[in-house]
Amino acid sequence: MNSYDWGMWNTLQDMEQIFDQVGRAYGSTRRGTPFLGQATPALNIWANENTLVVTGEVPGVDPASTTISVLGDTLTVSGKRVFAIVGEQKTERTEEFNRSIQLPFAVDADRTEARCQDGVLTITVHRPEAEKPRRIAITAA
Amino acid sequence: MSLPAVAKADDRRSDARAPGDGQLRQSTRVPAVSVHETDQALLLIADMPGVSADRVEVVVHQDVLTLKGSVHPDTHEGFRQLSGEYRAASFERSFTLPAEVDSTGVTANVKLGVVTVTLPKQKAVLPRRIAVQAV
Repeated sequence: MNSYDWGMWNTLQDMEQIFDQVGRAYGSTRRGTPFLGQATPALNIWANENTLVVTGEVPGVDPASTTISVLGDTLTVSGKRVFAIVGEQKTERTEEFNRSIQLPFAVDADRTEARCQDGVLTITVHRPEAEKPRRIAITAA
Repeated sequence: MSLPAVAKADDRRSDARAPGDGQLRQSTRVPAVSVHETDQALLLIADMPGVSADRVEVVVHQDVLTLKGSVHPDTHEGFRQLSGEYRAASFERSFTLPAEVDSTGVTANVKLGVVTVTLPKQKAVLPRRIAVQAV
């Protein structure tokens, strides 16, 4: 099954890029402002029968400040990014994010794995053993 | 001399050279970049998630600096994609360097998918302290 329409999505991203460039040309910056309802962080979701892999782009986010939690079929990712502001006085600006998504099935919170490398978050969750499809043996009467 | 104006003009010119300008390119993404200035240098800070230090390329040719970073494709064998909000494509963006930059001293580092390119200023434009002598 491939219900995902890449063509349309690329068009939206291209539009976003155009708006981005127009915005910059007029001296404004769109950084951190969602456009076309894009949530932060952007997530891709992959699935097989019993496992889901969720990847997200979180550049500049310290993994130590990132929290991932699972409750039933809801996955929540939250954290913060600290921007160092370079200038006469060194200051910092913090941007927080908190995002919950609904997964296609409830998952086993105890077996959630997450890693973060080079600003890309990868979360792997599994269907609970008890809810895996089972083959039922049929006994002849 | 107004150096912040230099940085701003540079950012504006860089967009004229950004991939995707005039033609929509699917193969690479333009990273979001902020430009900062200190007394000693200009800093380009680019969000390039998925790019490790060995996958960043910074090339200075004449007055154009090109920043590239490749990423591993976001594919998982045996899995099908349920939804996608970003495309894990490589990054590329070019900048026209102002004359104030010493292009031989450009350095770059990457941390947590954020690339920082340091463009030191030419010695001639660095602030100098003038000693005042008592007469």
